[in-house]
Amino acid sequence: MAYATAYRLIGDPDAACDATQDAYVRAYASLRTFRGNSTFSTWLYRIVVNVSLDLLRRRARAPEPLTAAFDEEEPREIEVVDHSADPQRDVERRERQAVVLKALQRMSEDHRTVLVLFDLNGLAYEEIAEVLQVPLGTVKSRLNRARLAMRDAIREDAELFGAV
Amino acid sequence: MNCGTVREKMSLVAEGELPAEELLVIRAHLAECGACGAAYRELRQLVEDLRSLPRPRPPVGLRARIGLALDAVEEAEATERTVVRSLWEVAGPYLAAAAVVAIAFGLATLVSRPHSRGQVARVPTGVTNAVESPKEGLPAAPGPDVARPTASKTGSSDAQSDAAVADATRRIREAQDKLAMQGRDAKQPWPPELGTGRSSGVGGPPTEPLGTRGNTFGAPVGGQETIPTLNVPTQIDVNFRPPSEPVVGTSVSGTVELSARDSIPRVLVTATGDEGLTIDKPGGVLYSGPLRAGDVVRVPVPMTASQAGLHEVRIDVQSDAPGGNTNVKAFIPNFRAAGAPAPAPAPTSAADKPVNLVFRKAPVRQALLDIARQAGLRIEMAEGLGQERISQDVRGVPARAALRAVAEEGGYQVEEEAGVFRITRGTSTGGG
Repeated sequence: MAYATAYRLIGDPDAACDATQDAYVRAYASLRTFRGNSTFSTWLYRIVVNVSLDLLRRRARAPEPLTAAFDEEEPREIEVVDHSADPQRDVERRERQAVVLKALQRMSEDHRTVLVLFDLNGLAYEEIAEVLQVPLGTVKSRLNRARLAMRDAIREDAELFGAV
Repeated sequence: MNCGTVREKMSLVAEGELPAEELLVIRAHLAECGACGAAYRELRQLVEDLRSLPRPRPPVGLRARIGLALDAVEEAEATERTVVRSLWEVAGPYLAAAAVVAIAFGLATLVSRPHSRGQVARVPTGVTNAVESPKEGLPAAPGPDVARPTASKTGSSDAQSDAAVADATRRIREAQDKLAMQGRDAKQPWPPELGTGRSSGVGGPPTEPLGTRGNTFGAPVGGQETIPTLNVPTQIDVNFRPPSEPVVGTSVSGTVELSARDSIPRVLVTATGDEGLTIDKPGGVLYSGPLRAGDVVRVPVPMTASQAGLHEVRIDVQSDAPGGNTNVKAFIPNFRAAGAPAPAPAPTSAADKPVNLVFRKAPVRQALLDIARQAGLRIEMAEGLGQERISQDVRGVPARAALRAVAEEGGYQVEEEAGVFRITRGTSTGGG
């Protein structure tokens, strides 16, 4: 989960590796600060998210290479699901996924984080509230705004998407 | 209800998380209002797409990288802990006495003043319990071991805190293991809870309580928890012989040989192949039955590969005898395509082929595997071995010599038999 989360937040496999390693090291070094108030995984998520966002901020000056890395990396991953025997649908799905990934990278940090945690990682609202240390209501409204913002971003540049 | 309100709640509608009445009203609006209806459909599509995104898989080398980094932290911590412990041994009794006196006089704040981390953290159990009773006595001090808001009423907070740390340590290690597994073999539910793998006594941090792991055998029913004897040498010897003519698409058979020093009433032997290798037995179960001392039980391992090249088989042996759980991973490098002309080159010549590799602080296991892959050799090494790190430059070195060089540096020996290189511990019984 650590790597997947870092990757989706950062959008670059190499940087995601760095972030994952950093997160594990920090977690390991500060195991004694883990109190059991939150679940272990929530605690670890918090570290991963913080480390990833820190790294992103440090690299904020270079958004374009990140997108490029995304483009190169994605096709290698997309080999998993095959619900449909329909190759045409499959192609469309992949294209949509590519559009979604690009849009995800363009989201603000807050929006991307909540989307990654809720929709990609399947965390509950309560868990996200703990990870991000924000009230439950904020998580819900932020998720809504993030989804709408993302839908707008996709609308702007993807014809494929509107065809639903 | 207006469009603005509906849009604010769209996500909750999609998640079905509104009261039924409100949901009805919004759905009615979505049906009537074209713009909102379209926005809602797009939002649902977006959610579906987001959720169907493939899960990024960690690259293969990441685990080793993290392992190295964690080891470095561990070493640093061990050093720190030694220093703290000796500090406590010297100053502890005085501090403890001071703490008791302070509490007795209701001067808890004195105690809570942050000293060095170690000093505060190491207040002995009895004292810790005592200081927790006054309501405002000891606020959650910055020292990591002290503050533990809940579950502090019973028992020793130190012990609980240590247990929590041990648990977290174990879990982070497991998470690390899972990370690596995701890349290769996520489907594998095996083994259920064996004391094998990483925990086989090699490379575990000396400070880590053994009781957190591998508690599979010798655990008395309802009795006091015992520490499993992880360092007892495995009592079952397992050897795997690969199929002599490994061809893709046909069922070929390897062999597992089992022997035991003492009779064991029942052992369960199972095999698991990698992604491209199916074990042609229901559930991968090869044998379930007794293993008498001195006997050698030979069990065929039928398997079918779906692609040519290197494949990996894992043999697991489970029993309820102490030291009776073990596993072996074997590599079969030369599965060839059905119509492929000649069989793979003889292992002896493969072993003479020079490899071109440089290792820097690489785990022995990985290094050996790399050599075997590059030269097309078969190697066997018990699971859990080979965590030691070595540095070797084996550029232009024949594979056999490279294997030996790497193995020896890691404290292992190489036995070559029928083209299989078996890597075993150099000093037969692993030191505690």
